[in-house]
Amino acid sequence: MEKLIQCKNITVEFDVMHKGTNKVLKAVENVSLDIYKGEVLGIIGESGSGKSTLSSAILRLIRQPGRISQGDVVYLNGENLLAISEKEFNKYRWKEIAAVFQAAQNALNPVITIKEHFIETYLAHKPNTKEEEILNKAKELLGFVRLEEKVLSSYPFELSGGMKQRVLIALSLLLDPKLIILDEPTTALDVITQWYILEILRKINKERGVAIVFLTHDISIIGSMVDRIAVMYAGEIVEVGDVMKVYSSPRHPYTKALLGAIPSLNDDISTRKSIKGAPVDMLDLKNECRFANRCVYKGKVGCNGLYENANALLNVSDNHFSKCGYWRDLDDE
Amino acid sequence: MSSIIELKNIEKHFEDGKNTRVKVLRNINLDIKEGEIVAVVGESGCGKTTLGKLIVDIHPPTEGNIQYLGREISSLDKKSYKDYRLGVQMVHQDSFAALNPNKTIFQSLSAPLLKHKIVKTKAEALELISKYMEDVELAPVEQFLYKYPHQLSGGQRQRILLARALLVKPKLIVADEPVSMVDASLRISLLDLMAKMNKLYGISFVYITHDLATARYIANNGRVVVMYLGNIVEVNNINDAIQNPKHPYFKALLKAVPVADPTQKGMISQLPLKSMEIPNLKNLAKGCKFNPRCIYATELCESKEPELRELNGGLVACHYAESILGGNEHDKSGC
Amino acid sequence: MLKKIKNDFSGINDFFKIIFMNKQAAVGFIILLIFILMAVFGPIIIKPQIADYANRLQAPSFQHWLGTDFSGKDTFKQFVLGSRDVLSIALFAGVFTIAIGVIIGISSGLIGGLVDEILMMITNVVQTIPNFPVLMVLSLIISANNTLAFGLILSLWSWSGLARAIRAQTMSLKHKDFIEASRLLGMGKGYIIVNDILPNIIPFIAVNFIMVMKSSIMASVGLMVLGLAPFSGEHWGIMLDIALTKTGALLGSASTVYLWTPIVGIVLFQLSCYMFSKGIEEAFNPRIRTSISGKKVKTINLKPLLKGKDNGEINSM
Repeated sequence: MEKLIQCKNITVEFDVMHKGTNKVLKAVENVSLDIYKGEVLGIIGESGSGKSTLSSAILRLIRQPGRISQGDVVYLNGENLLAISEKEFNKYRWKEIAAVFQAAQNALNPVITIKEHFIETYLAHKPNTKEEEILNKAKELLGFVRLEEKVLSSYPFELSGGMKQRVLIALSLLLDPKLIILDEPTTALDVITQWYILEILRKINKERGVAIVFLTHDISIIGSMVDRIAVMYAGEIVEVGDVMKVYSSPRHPYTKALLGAIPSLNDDISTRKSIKGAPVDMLDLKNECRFANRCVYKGKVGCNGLYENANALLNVSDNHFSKCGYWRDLDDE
Repeated sequence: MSSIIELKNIEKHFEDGKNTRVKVLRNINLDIKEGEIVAVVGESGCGKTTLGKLIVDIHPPTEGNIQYLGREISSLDKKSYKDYRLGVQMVHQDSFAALNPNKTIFQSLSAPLLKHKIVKTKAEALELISKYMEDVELAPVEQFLYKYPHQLSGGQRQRILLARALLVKPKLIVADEPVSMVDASLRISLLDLMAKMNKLYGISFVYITHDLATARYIANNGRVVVMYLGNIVEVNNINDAIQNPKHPYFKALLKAVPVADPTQKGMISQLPLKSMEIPNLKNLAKGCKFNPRCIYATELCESKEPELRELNGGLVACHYAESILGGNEHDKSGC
Repeated sequence: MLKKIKNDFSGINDFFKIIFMNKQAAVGFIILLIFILMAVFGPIIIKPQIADYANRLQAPSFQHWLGTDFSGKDTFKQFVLGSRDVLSIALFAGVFTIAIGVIIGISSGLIGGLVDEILMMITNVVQTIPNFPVLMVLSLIISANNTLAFGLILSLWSWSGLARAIRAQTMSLKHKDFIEASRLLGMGKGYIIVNDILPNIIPFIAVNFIMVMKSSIMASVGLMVLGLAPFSGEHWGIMLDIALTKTGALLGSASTVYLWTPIVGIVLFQLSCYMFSKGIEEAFNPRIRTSISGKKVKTINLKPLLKGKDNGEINSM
């Protein structure tokens, strides 16, 4: 498959004041990830994992006190999106890569109608387009996301959370991008609304060939949605690969633990185990594997917990990688 | 077993401010017994949060009455009301909003103890608080007691909310989405904690959520109460309810819960629903409130509201529950 | 083991740390401090002046740092003496404004209903009546020849904005979860007001206090310049009045220094109030306070001290 985006060695740093001293927080450290054309990629990560920061980096939305201190984002046409000027990048923003952010329902301007949202957004990227043309496109997209035409004349406060989310998805499709990045798009929504939105996203991917990158902490969504899954923890990608492989045979202690800690509707409750301990302090990283303090395998399979065992993505099999140096020995505890 | 809280024929209406009345809860009857864990599930607009607030008397019911240990709350004398006040506690969803940002944890936790003379001195308060902090697995306690809420993580704060509720020795705790703002990997440790408190101290829990998976985890031998647009539509033992859903709404809800296992991908069926929009509470249909979205709806459903009645050991409010059972998809709408 | 936090002291320490982190606020604070010291110690050090007509309208010199006024009194010394009245009036105006604004704002916000409507009606009336003309009329009727009464009068027309802001804040706080939690735990209204509501409106109060001080000086000076305040003494407003009326300063005579002194003083005072207020809001935010605490909060083991042992351990958390 063709690679739409290749993220190479991305590091994003933030300057923070912690207990009176200036420190640097590496929210994303040395992350490399490919996004293939037309695929659905799920990035799983909890708070502090760095997944939102990574997507902000790809969209060049990192602002002071943060900065992308190293890395390239190579697009399909060979161009490095991080190296070009802001003006050049505008050609890509929304036309090639679009986004729907977390709690994005608040991103709608409360004083203009939905119709105006579509028109403004379109004209911002392609000025001199006739309004009629834009509205036709808008109606088509609203139908796609199962919204009625009359939504166009509504104000955001008149719509429910689920409806607003669908408007945002329609807006993201406005200029026919090749990739849409969605950050926790269904978190604040009901189960049934969530189901419909996932349906719509599946449709977008299948019928329009748009690649979708789905960021979430809810691992139960992946089964019905994604082709590949990447798991992030403490600013790093710890496991990535084909979703069937990762689910049936997780090769990183965090992924294994996470799958075992999430209850579902039909698992055996007694097999659920919480992950002990707390995430590592990102401002005080020692020369250890970042999951070491919570890993049930440390000391048992020969791993001493040092960072040298966890500093590179190793090839587990075709299209399955893990950062755990002892991935071969992770049998059931 | 005796009842801790009994809700009888509860109706709750809110004034919209434009002189329209919104009926948030209608005809609610519920009985929570000693030591029970009851999960109340439903989606936005179903009234589950309001139900929780009524149980702890933040709002009074518009009609009907709430009884604590057999006596009506509204007619309790001062002393008995105080027993009720401390006996029924709540754990909020947003742990940051539920703690005073200007007080240390110790100050927040000790204030009620001293006011109600549960302890006599600050030193005694410290001892008691330390014991419960260890119960909720926040140790060593000095690391947490003298911090401000913003210095702790979400999971830690949630445990403190639980400790705060436990300190006044309640008989019942209403937990309104207690884990929805906590990281996925930490949720079951919090739920385990609540289950432990339930066993150890015999405290009843009313667990309000829209997440069926966590409801099943915590209430695993308790009851589930399914709500829709202000009504109770199904009540049953939670495992039975999930295996054999009786109400069409609950059936649809179960089908909509996402499944992590990717091998199940091909089996995503259509949802048995006519429309995905949730009706506005101000504009409810006549008859059964679910009928506009129900694939089994008939004329009867549009004119007559079904009563909550017994069926196979549980309760359900549907005219056609028997025929819908066990996959006899008698689609009466003719689709 | 018993441990007691010396939160108060570390709190004040951190408060000033933040003020000084913000350069503007630091400068404002220092100037204000100078004025306060001037007001407190000035009249103690400097004796009241005696007229010395022979020396009138002298230019600044070593003997008289800012020259002399129309009656031979040293300008600089007058300025210093006048600062006490200026600050007293500002202080009283501030205190009374805060008191009225807080009581009305919290009552309105918490109680609601009819009480709220009545109080807000009063607030609206006070807010819309033009401030200064009323003050002019009042000062003709009431002879406010002491600083307390004068401060009180000034405050009568400045509390409406504060009351409104506090009412709004109280109303939004009323529904916050932590206040609901206090109610659920059986805490009384008094506790909720003092512990839950007040700490969250202190930033408003502090900023408003400084701003009232700033505007009170304009109001008092304004009245004095118009000759409406039956005041004796060395208040800067009086200096200004005299400069304009008795020494023909505007006509460019040798007393321009005498004219400029109170003006510069007023401007500096207002500026310092304004700049200081910038830092106050940050300083009251517990998040910022604790994030800059260089040293972690100290705890002291009191038990050995109580038992008479002298090896009290000091543990840092």
